[in-house]
Amino acid sequence: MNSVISEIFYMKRRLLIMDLPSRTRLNDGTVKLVERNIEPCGVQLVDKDAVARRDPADLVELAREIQTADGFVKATACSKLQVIAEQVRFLQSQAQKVLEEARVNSSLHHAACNFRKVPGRLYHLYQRPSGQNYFSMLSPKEWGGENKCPHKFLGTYRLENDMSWTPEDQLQTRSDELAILHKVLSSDQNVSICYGLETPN
Amino acid sequence: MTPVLSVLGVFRVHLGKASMASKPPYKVADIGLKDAGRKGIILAENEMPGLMSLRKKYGPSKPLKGAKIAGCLHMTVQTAVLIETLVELGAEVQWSSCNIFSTQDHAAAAIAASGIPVYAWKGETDEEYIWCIEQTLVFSDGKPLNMILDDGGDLTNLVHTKYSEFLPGIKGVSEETTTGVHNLYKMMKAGTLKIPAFNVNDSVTKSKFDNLYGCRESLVDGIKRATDIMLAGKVAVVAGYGDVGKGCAQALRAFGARVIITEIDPINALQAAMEGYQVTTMEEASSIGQIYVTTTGCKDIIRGEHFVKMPNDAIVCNIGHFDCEVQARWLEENAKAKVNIKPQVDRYLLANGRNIILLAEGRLVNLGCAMGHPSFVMSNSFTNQVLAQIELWTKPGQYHVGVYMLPKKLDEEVAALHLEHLGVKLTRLTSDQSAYLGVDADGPYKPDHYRY
Repeated sequence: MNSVISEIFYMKRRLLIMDLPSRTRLNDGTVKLVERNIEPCGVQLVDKDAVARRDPADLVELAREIQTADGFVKATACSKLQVIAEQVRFLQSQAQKVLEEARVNSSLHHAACNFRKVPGRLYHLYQRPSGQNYFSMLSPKEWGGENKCPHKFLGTYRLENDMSWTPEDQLQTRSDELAILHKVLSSDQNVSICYGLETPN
Repeated sequence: MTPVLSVLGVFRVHLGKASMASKPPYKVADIGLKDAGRKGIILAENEMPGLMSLRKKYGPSKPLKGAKIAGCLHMTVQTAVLIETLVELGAEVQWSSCNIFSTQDHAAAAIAASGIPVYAWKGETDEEYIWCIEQTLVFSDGKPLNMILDDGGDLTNLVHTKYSEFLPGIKGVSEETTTGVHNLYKMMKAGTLKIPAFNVNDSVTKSKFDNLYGCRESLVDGIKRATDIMLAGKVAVVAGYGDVGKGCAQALRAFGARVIITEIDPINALQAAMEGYQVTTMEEASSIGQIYVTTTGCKDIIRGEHFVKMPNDAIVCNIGHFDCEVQARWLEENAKAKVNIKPQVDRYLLANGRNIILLAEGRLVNLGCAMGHPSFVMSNSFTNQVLAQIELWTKPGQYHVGVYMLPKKLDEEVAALHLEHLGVKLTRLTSDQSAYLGVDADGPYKPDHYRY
């Protein structure tokens, strides 16, 4: 039980153990022949050794085949595990991204704000000399340029319907994503989603 | 350019030496609220007969043609009716709110949607507040304001200090409230006032109606929304028997409460006594009152020594202009516990085991817990505003720098415009009676010193 747990913990840090436990380790090239039965199906063999006489080279051949098969199995397992490893790595980075987004969204929601925020609108984050961050309805442009702002400008964000925040430089990407999803939702047919691909001309 | 901003578009205004940055045609919290705002405005129009009859009377002749009015006054549904009246009379109008929290976003959205530049939303920062006012100074054709409609004096001050180059073109200012009027007299005394000013606040149809009848309805509205308390049979203590105190006392009594008044002025105290109210000190009243209302305009009316004498769950609120009448700080510092019942309603547990319910943190209870003044009474104030604007705009040169009151005749006209809506039939003096009294049959009917 302990070892399982420690393995899981190990997984958490390293994500994957390529080195499998010894009990499942693949056989080396030793040839094992099927056990003999000197009385097969109740029939007594006349000469059990004569029946089983063989060319010594046969064993070498068999051993080579086993070795080749071992190689293939190992390679296949490795490549399959590699795919899983990649997926786990990807999931981990996704998980990190989700956590990071949650942290950023939460901190933006906790920025001081006097008004009720409406999804779909742009809001502008500033910092007062006291260090307090607050949302404003006014962009630096509306103040007449960043140097005319009363306080340090930190960034522009759009509040989405799911109460997440999209930074100004990602507005278009996010809008495109949402537009595609909206199309899928509002369409009766199956629409293939092509993320990150240019639409073919 | 982001999609949201590109919808709004921007226009650039130039003005002689001062070139202002490009500004949006309006700035409100949510333009999507415009339909809700319009519905509110339609209801308010019906309750603002003074403004609506001005539209009927002056709409065709457009006496405010050419006027570029920058307005700074709570951007509410009632103010929307005022704004559209000014526009109907021919004026070009740009608006901001005179309080960072008082804007009704749906009203602002409706005004913005009708093409009037408005810069106001509920919950501005102090810097944004000034930005909003500044946006109203220069109009879309690049020309600056030539009239001011103000509430509180911030717009008037801003123009006099930071934008004094606009002063020569400005025909005058009409000021809505006590604070702003006070500021005007102060500027006048210091010699810094540079334009003629109308004191709308002290028109009889403003202060005598706003304070008395407005509070008479909104006080109880606030108390009931906050606490759902039954007033009948309760002992209510009203501190101060001025216009506001008179309205409050009357409303509480009408609900069946027994009202006790505290006063410092023997005239008001006598008035209260002769209305049948018990008049005593807060020291004595504080041990029996279940509801306390301060209306004095003074400070430290209800203090710690009063709180500790009050019965359990006594309700304490203020309807005077400033929040220093009730010592809310004493409660904050001395209460054993504070429970927020709901927004604007706090219950403090005192060391003696009894509770005090404080409404709106000691700020104006009719604004904090109710909707403030109803449209009808605002129609009185705003009709004064429109008449003052017409007076200043159509009679240039007649008013020199100074602070003026509307002529008695116009004050009477404001009242007259509200009569029909209430089905009032006015009696007219015969020429014989008119000669007997020495009063013109068309007014003015009273001398200026008459107190009403």
